Order: sequence, then structure tokens, then C-alpha cells
Amino acid sequence: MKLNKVICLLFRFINVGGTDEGTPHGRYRVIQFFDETGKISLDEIMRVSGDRNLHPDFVEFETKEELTDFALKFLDQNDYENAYLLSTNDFNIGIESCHNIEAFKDIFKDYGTCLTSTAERPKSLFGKIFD
Amino acid sequence: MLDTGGSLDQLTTPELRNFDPVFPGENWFFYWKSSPSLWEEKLRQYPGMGPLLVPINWSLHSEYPNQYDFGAQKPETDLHKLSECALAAGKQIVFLLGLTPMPFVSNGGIPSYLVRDLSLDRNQMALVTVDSAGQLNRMYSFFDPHTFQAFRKFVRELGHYFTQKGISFPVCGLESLRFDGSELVSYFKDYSRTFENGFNRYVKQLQESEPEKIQTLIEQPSYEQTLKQEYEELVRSLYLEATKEFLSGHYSGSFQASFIGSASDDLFARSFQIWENENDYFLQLFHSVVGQAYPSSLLLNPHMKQHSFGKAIKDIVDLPLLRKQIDDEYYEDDSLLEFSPLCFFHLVDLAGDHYSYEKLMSDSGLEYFFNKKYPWSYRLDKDIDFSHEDENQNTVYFFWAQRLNKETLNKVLKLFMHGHHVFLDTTGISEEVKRKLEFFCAENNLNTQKINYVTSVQKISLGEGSLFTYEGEFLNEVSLNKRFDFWQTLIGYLNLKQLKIDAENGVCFFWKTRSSNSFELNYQEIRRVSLYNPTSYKKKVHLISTNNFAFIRSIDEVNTNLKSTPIGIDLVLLPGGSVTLDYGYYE
Repeated sequence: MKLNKVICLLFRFINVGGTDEGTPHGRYRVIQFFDETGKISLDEIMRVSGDRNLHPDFVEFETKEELTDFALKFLDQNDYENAYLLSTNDFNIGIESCHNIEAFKDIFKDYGTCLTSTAERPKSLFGKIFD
Repeated sequence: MLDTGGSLDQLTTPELRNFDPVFPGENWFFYWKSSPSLWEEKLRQYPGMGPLLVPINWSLHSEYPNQYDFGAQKPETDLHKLSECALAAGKQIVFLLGLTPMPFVSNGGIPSYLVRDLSLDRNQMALVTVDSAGQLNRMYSFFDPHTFQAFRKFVRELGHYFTQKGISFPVCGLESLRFDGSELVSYFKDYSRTFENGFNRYVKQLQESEPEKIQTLIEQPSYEQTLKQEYEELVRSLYLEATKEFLSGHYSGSFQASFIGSASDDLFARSFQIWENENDYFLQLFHSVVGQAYPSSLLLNPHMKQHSFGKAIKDIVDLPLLRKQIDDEYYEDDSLLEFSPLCFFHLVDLAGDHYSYEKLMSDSGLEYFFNKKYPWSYRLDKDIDFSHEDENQNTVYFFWAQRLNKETLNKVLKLFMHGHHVFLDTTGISEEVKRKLEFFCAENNLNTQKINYVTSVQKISLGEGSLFTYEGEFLNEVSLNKRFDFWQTLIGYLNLKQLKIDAENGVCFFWKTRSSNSFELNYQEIRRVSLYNPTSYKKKVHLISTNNFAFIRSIDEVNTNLKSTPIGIDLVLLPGGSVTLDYGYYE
């Protein structure tokens, strides 16, 4: 069981025929999904996302709400404390002000959206980096 | 103070300094990281063999628009002095001029006054690399017209300077490559708005110059990818032409270097060192050799190169690999007696879109087959290269007919007639190419055998050469194991000789070969395999005795136990262990 951990999720909005993020034809594709120990496997993602028909190479959601719901569900089912969601657009803005690895570690915290699990737990080292 | 015979006792433990940022690895020399007064001494002391690779740091020489410095203001920009130092130290230099962003310098090497739009990868993520000191280098688009104009002016000044000062060392165009999964992709490739804007201008221009292309675009939206590829190649050629024009006497071809640790995944892995994995870097190293790029570890933290990966870099990124990139004809006669990567198969791309090519390889099951049976003993060629002809008559070529036209088919048939083995996936073959192939067989009254095995396979023979055609689309419909059996059966016809290695998961190995010398007349060829254990567990490897191979020696044993038995060689590689074994091949 994983306790007191933070997960980071980088996603990209893919426009499918529409012109802006409001279009119902958009997709939210997960680009990076990791915790302090490494990338989170597709198997683990599938376990949480249930019977969703996942593409073999990537994970996509129809709406941002679905993406957020998935992240929250993942937090709760795996005993994580926080999830940081960051879009590639915000990543690209944030990266302009990062000059080294130390600054880069804060990019999810500084430019992303923080989701908190319902349970409150003491923080791990990885968690402290983001606080 | 203690009298220590003239020297002072050090009170602290001396820091072992075995990494010099001026020489970050694999013969690279970063002149801007050292005082010019030290250049000659450093070059003289450098123990490596072969020419030094000196990338020209554009941003260092042009801090302001239309102003160029080659030693007049900042001594570290004096490339003439650097050349003189190299000559005095008895070293050869190859200057490298970045024709793409360079991942090892700030802003990819472009001057700060040109920094505008970040270059993006196919996931719309900014291209960023971490260098060996943990600094982030952001890449900026080479599709910005301002960047091209400034590049052209800079190269003109550089050309004048080289001619005026009589600098004799050659200049190669450096194409830096990054990893996207297992793909090698040029840093030139860009998916940013800057690229899109440029492409839109190109499309507008086509409306007047080639309206038929626009008509095709309207009828087939997927044609946009082809046009984007065309536009990319057009802009790439502008950079190349400017370089050739202004450095005419000095320009000595292109140099492709891949940078290990440059993948987007690596950025995250290296930020949280816990999941930085040496094994991933092994894969990037091997992929570089397969992709015919010169692998560079200069972005990696030196600690990553302290164990088996560092050993692998030294074993694989050697002088012959460097010479191959710089196309040094002077050394050609020696090359047969030097080890070079073993290659049985050439997979010929014939198109610029690497992502679809990897998919073809993967869908056909070839990638899986090679990884199991002939790991890393194949090459990806962009074009048909007839220089392989003399290498080995048994070289096997793979082509995908959907990428062939009449001219390229002629080249394929030429390889076949010269006695090579050619595999041709006929999926998506055009009527023109199909007719040409049928006509060729009928005209030459060739011996043709047809079998149905997973798909319809035709074997055409002519002398030593054989041409296998198959319908690859049917391979996709069967399991990976069946695809493996298919390739095993077909490749089995060719009777390729290779030793079998049973290695536990996590062990990496790489084969090289060379001709035998006058002391090894019992053998036609010497094959060398280097094995590495980057894991933190003990690993067992068994090299199975095979006809036509004789074990000669083991060298460079590090944390390895070797036992020779009648059925082969048993190895136990301890964590970080490595060993190299030589085998003689005889017929």
C-alpha cells in the first residue's frame, strides 16, 4: 500500500475538429503520469479507470472533468495525498522560468492544479518537495 | 606544520576530479568552458584517439544582432587560436556547425536576441534537455524566419573568417538527434506555432506555384502530412545550402549525433533521480548505433558513467564509429581490421516520417524478431546505400513497397542482381511498381517459388541473390509468436551464422565484428560480444557452443566469473559487471 504520496499528471488537450477547448470533440491525453518512484504503469491506470476502452499506447479522457475524476479516484484508491495536474500549455509557460533541475521540480506545484485526497496524512519527502 | 619532504599534507580528503567539462565525453571539446590560455595544454593532455569534435557555439560569437566576435573582443571566441593550439598539440579537429538546435548549450545554441518561440515535440511539450550539471537548456524553433536570416549572416561571417585566417580543419553540419521513445528524431523537427505559421505561408505559396498539390490537399486531408514533411525538408535544405555556400572550401558533410538522456521521459526521470535508469540509457546507446548516429553521453551526469554504462560507452563509441560519421577516406584501408558493429540486416526507410516507419517495423514483427534473435545487429538506412555492397555479400535488405517508386525499385533490383538477399513487403504497392517488378521477373525468366505461409510468399532467385516478396498486412492479423515463426522460417533460408546467447533479463550485450588478421588465418572473421549487467542483482549468461565458432579469449573482465564448459561459456555477472569475449568464425 502506498501512503502519503504525490502524483504528477501532465496532459495535453487534443483538438479533434473544433477550434477551442470548449469543443465537445476535444480529448485530454495523459502525457506523463508518475510518482516519486517512477512512471505509473498502464495496468495500474486501467485498474482505476475501470472498463474504459483504453488505447494501447496512451490514455485519453473526453472532458477535463473526467480527467479530474480519474485523478481523484486514483488518489483515493492508492492512498496518495495530492495530485498535481498540469497541461502542456502551462508546462511550456512554466519551463521558461526554470533554469535548473531544482527549479524544474516545482513546475507542477507552481503551474499545475492541486487535487487533494479526502484523507489527510503526514507528508513524505516527495510531498515536502511540493510544499 | 609537518615537514612532508617539501609538500604540504592535505587535511581534507582530496576530491577525485575525473570529469572535465571541457571534454564531456566521446571526443567532444567545449572550447568555451576553458580559458584559451589552457587550450593547448588541455588538448595536448587529452588521451583519446582520433579527431576532436568542436561544436561552434553560435551564441558565443554573436551576442548582438549583426555583431560577430572571433577573438577581437573575447579571447575564448578565437577559433583561429584554437586551431593553432590543436596543430601545436598534434590533434585533429572537426568543427561542427549546428544545423539544428544543439541540446548541450543554452537556448540550443541560438543567440539570446533570437529567442522567441519554444520548439515543441509531437505532444506539444517544449523541448528541454538537462545537461550534465543539471542546467536546463530550452530549444527554440529553427523555423522562425529571423533565426534563419541570422544564421545565414553568421555562417557568411564564419566562412570569411575561416578563409581569411586560413583555418585548415574541416567543418561538418551537426544534426543533433533526440529520443522519442525508441525513435531517433532530429532536433530540427518542430510542432510549434512557428512551424505551423511557416507551413501556412508555404501552403499559400503553393496555391500559386503548384495548385495541383492544394487540390490534392482538399481531396485528401491526410496529404497535409506529406506537405508538412516537404516544407520541413525545404527549410532544412535552406540551412544546409547556406552552410555549403559560405563554408564551401571547409564544409565536409553532415554529422549526426544522438544525445543519450535527451528524451522527454528522461527530463522527468532525471529530475527525480530515484527513477533514473541506467538500462534506459543502454537502449538509447544501442538505438543510436542502429540508427547510424554517433552516440553522445555528454548530457548525462558523470556518475551515470562510472559503472557498466560508462564501460559500454567506451567499448561501443570508438574511433571506427567516429570515422564512419566523418567519412574519413584516409582511414578506409585500416577499417577492415578494426571492430565495427555487427550488421546482418539493413532496413531501408526511403521516407522521412520516422514514426510511421517504426510502426511498420513493429507491426511486421520484425522488431520483435530482431530483438530476440539478432539483437541490435541491424541498421536503419534512410536511403539505399550501395557502399554496403562490398561489406558482405550476404547482407539482407528490407523494403516496404509502399515507399518505392520506379527509380528506387531499380536500385532494389540492382541489390538483388548483385547477390544480396532482399525482402519486399508488397502491401500498398503501386500499380506502376507492381508492373515493373512483374516485367523484371518475366523478362529475366527468373526462378520463382511460391508458398503460402501466414501470407503469400514468393521467392525469386538469381545466382547468389534472393528476393522474397510477402504481404505484410496479413502479418498484422496473427499473433506475435506466429510473426516470429514466420521470420524465423524465412531468415532460416539464408543460413546466417550467429552464436546464441541465453541471458537473464536486464543483461545488455552488443556484437561487433572485424576481418581476421595475418595471425588469425584459421578464421574468416572475429566476432566480439560485450556483455554488461547494469542491474543491482547477480545475473547469469550462457553462450551456447555453436558450429563454425571457436572461443578465443575473454578481455576486460569486471566483476565477472567465467567458466568454460563443453557446451559453452557460463558467465556470472555481478552488479555493474561486464566482460568482452572474442570468437573466431570459420567455415
